[in-house]
Amino acid sequence: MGALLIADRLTKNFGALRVADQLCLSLHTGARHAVIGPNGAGKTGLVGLLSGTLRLDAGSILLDQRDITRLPPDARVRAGLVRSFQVTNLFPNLRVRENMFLAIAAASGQCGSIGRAAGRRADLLVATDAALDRLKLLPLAHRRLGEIAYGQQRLVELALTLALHPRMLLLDEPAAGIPGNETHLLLDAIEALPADLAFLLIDHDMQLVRRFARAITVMARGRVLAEGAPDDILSDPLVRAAYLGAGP
Amino acid sequence: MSGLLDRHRWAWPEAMFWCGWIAVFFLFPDRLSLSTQILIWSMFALSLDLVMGFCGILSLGQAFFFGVGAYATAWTALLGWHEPISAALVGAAVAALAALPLGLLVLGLSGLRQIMATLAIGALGLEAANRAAGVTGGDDGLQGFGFAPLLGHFRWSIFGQTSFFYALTGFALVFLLLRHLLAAPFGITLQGIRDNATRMRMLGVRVGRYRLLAWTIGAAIAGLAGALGAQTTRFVGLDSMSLDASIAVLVMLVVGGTGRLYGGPIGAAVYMIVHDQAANWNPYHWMAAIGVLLILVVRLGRGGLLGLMEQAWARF
Repeated sequence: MGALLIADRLTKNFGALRVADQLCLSLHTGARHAVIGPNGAGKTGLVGLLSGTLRLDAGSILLDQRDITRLPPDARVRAGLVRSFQVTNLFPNLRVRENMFLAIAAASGQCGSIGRAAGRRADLLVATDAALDRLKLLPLAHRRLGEIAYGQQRLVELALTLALHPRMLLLDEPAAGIPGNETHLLLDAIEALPADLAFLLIDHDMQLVRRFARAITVMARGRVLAEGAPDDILSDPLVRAAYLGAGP
Repeated sequence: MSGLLDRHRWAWPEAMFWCGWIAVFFLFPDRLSLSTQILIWSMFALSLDLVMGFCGILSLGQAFFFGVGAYATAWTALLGWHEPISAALVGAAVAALAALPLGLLVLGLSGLRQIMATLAIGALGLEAANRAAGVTGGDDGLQGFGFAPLLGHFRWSIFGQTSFFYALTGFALVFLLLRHLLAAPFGITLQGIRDNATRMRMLGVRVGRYRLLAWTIGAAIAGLAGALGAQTTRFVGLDSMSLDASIAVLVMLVVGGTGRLYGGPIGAAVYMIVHDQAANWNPYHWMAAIGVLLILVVRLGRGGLLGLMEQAWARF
């Protein structure tokens, strides 16, 4: 399989702080790739650079052989590169169904439609409810997003992200803040992602990383420290020393 | 409050609102001129509600477009074109054309900087109109223009029946258009942009394009309101473009309730009736009455008078 996403020598500095320093990354279609590293390694910065909310100082990004280095974030989403947010970033005053409707309208290019009322667009409404149902969110559809439990909001976040038909998904600490008894919902959802969808999982939850990742990149100070299969990486003495700390 | 996806459904209080306007014609035949002005300002307030209430663009210069529409329509007549409806549409179109480049300037900003930029547009526009006395008549304004009978049939009588129904029809059509646009996915998208523009961008939405559309449609409606003002009073003065007018329409909208379509019209009616009554009582200090009203409405809850009525209704 050819490479889906190629990040070539990404470089970004905030003054003396190095977010990315000649960082290279390559993911193929359907990849299950994790990026780990200590706090301040530049993991979340990497998500910003790839999704376009942070501007690169140098380097280039190819998605499916197309240069997207200079595309604004919204155009990258339309190209299939979609991110989820570490902290829930949705529309708290709207109902869950309305939140999802926005994503469905965006994904189907119907945002500017002025023909019929949104409430009469059976096509969009059916797709909206189907997308909610996929993550068992339908019973919450009429509730305001701001008043449902945080873990459920995180699921809505993931559901919206998936509704955009991503080919390359950036998952920024998807399980952060979800109470233990609700994480299985999210884990099942990640498990059920289509095989041709590639995702990059940014997390320091090693259980999550072990469960999903087939390749791991270890970052430190904006650089790639090591890269390889999970077993090799997690037993690499260099990585253990730099990141995992001493252990059995 | 009903949901975004139910916006197309009619509620019976809406019928009351529109029947009320028909009733005004029969109940207050000697106040048609005031009623016509309320209708025009209602349309003006709708334009600001679209831009600010539904799309989150903060504007203190909306009267600039009202004035541009008024001058453009007056000039249409002065240049020899007297058909009223097309002349009003010219006013709307010119205002929209003026809004496009200004939108590119204003819409990239946010918060306080956006308010300042729109304020500057209003101030510079007013000053330009003041200097360009050849076009605007300066302090004297434009007058001495008139329009042919409406639909070739209804003369513009001194009692104002034609003006009243002309303004009422124009207002109703604009209202229906906005009601439709805001219930469509387009309107839902605007609301998403107002609530969380960053997230809309990360849903792949071209946020700038939709803001520019809303801004331009809003300017066209403000221009149309200005055009109707020029046609029904047969006069355009600098005050139509003044900062006072921009603030007045903002106060109307806030008093009535933003982001709810009926808020602007209700605020306009309350504002102008209070103005009219208080001016009889004391022509110099009528603004005090508006000030007290504004403070009360803002203190008592969010959503203006309409929000208060909804709360009262829910409790009842």
